[in-house]
Amino acid sequence: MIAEWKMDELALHILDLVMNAIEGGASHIRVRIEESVIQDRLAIAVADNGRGMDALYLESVLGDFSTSKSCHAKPVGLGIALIKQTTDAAGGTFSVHSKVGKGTLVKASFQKSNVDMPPLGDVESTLLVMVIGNPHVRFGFSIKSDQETYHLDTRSHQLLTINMRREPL
Amino acid sequence: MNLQELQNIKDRVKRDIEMRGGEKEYRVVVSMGTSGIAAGARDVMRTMLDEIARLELDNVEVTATGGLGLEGQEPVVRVERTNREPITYGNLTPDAGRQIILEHIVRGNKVEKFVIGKLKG
Repeated sequence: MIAEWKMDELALHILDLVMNAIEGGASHIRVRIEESVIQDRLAIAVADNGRGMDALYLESVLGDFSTSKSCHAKPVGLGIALIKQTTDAAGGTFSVHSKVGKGTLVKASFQKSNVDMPPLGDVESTLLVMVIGNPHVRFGFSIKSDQETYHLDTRSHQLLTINMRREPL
Repeated sequence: MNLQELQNIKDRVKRDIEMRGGEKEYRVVVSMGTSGIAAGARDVMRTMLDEIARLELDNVEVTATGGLGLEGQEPVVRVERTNREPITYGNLTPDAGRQIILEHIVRGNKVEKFVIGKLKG
């Protein structure tokens, strides 16, 4: 069943990872997108301060999830398994670091010219939905290109300030 | 994504924050677990947010949740109204989401054709 779920945009994977993080108790989530034409590379990362996963649980999440019965009632790491599947299919690289009580960092990177790479997709919708839909979570978002980096930060749980910073390369 | 797009997001989020606070008559909860996202929940929610912004509605808030447990009928949205039974809608498209805003939130009538769950049949 899971294998049939379609995540045909990286932006949907990002949203899925973010919702996973929230299910995992995160109150601060940082999303980073790095796109380099020069390096022919697109990388995304989602970091959270949620409950984290121990090695055993992580292993079960990353196992052959298409056939596993998903022993957990709430498979918190499912989004991680899905993006790993997408990365593998597109010849990208994938890593996940998680520490119980500290949080989780998921990274995926792709060669932009790879024909199997899914499109980045509608990042704007993903950001609006994640920020507006989760008023109690603080979000940091940064997007980096060959020329510049932008940051958005929704600050405290009341989302009082949003900063944007432009950095020259 | 360019600066203009980010600026738009910033402005949009800022406006949303300014609209927050106080008790809202309506609360729209969007099922945003993996199955919901894969079925199109993000775009349904985006359309609803756009419609709320377009009509400048201030009596409704939209939140995302990790899945309402109705996997076969995603995208699923629950509309809660003060002192009323919540209504659950399913198998939604962005246009269905727009209709729910127009009919349910603006006019106060549930949209029967999209209702699922215990209220069905």
